[in-house]
Amino acid sequence: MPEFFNRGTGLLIIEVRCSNPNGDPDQESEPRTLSTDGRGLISPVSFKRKLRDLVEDADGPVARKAFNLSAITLADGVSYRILESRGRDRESIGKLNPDAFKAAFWDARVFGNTFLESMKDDGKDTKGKGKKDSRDHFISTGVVQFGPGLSVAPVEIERLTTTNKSGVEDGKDRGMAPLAWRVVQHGVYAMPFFVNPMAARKTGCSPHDIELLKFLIPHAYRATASAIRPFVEIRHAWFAEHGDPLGSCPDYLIIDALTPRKVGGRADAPSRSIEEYQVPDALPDGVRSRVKSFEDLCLKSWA
Amino acid sequence: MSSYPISIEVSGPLAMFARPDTGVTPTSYPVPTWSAAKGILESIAALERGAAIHPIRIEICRRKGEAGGEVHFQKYATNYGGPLRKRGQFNSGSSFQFFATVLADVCYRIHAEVRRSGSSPDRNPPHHLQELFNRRLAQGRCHQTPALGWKEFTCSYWGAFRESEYEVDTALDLLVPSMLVGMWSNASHGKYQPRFAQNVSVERGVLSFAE
Repeated sequence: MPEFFNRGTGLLIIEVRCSNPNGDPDQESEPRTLSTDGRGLISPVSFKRKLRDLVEDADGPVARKAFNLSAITLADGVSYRILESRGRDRESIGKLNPDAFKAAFWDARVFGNTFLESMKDDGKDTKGKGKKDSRDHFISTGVVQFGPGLSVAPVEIERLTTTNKSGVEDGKDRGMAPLAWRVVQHGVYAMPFFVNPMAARKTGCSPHDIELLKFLIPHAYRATASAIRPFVEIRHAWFAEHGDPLGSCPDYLIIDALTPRKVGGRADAPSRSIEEYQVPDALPDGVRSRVKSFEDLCLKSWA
Repeated sequence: MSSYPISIEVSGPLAMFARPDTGVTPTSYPVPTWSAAKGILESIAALERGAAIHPIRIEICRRKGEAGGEVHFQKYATNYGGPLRKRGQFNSGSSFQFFATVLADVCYRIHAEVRRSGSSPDRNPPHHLQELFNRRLAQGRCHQTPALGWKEFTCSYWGAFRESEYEVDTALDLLVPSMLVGMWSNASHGKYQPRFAQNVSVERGVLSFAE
């Protein structure tokens, strides 16, 4: 039986400088924007992928440090494997019983899974008494939901052509990628996330799993930086623990209080630096008194 | 017979109320379905037996002072590299690209009634559920985090009506030729029986669900 924990509401404040925080595969990896008003967008799928990659790289510096922390050590038999991974064998996973499945995959415990979606159409898997119930663990809502990350102001996208001296195509001794380097010049994004313990009983999520999530968040971009994403920095990773599993404060009060506001230049014009924003650094007393604890995960010290 | 109305306002940057006919490249209806509205309300409170929530109408809202009269669609594509890919993609190490057309920048006011459903030892389950819902809404408590269709499309707001900031978009008129009502025969404990309604209209920003 999973241990008891409270609802949580979080907000990531992400600054982007000359980087592509999340390319759109339907737009030649153009940084995502809302077509209505030009604000930048980071999909929840994209952010969760970075957390999964950090956990999956079990010998990497982030995972190794995390797994040595007492707050994150799991019970015997419980592991931190990743379900949404390129190398996973679907058939062998499909044979796992509920307890083995819950114990195996960190992302299935935390983010839920829809593994059954394809299996249920597979005739041979649905025959037999009690089979359906025994496969109930292959579809579950996650304990943690990340919402869309939206920039506070519209973003301006820079497109540059890059060249490659050695060439990448057969028969070419040099290469060129026309307008392939596409970045957001500057943007400040806010991405909410929610911890709902009511789903933990089904997924097997424990407080240790949530602690690992909280440890990883500040490293999500810094430890996965790339040529197209050199500066995506989580400036604040706010996390409020409610005083109750069902919650003790409306989420929007927390999120609205912590969302930056553009104070320099026009509100509907792209920014050039974070100086153009008023970035809250605390919860108002009236909101703070309604939650059990409140912290910036970027400043949290882990013993 | 007593009536037990409940209501909620929800808004968010993205929403998806998928048309079943759009298959693996899902496209959203321009407005929430009856079952989506019910799901949003039930994420706050629901009873196992004795009472069920029935959405009555949805008011599509705009920020005060904005012109309105439009529903904004947004392309939304994601990559998937997990174990559910087709064997060919799996073997070649290719990602599956999932293309969807979602709604952007939405705000809805959902009106519903709590009605008796089946037997229960409680004296008045609809009243119980109405009180539970209203109490939780005021306290910011929920059973599931409310979402606008897909779970990742979380709400930027859920709570009481924000009369000073938002208003019903009276400039919006729409006709949806065919629209999913729900997947089950009853509001609670129903059998799998998809139901559709024809010529569903949004008039002056209001979508009323036929009984």
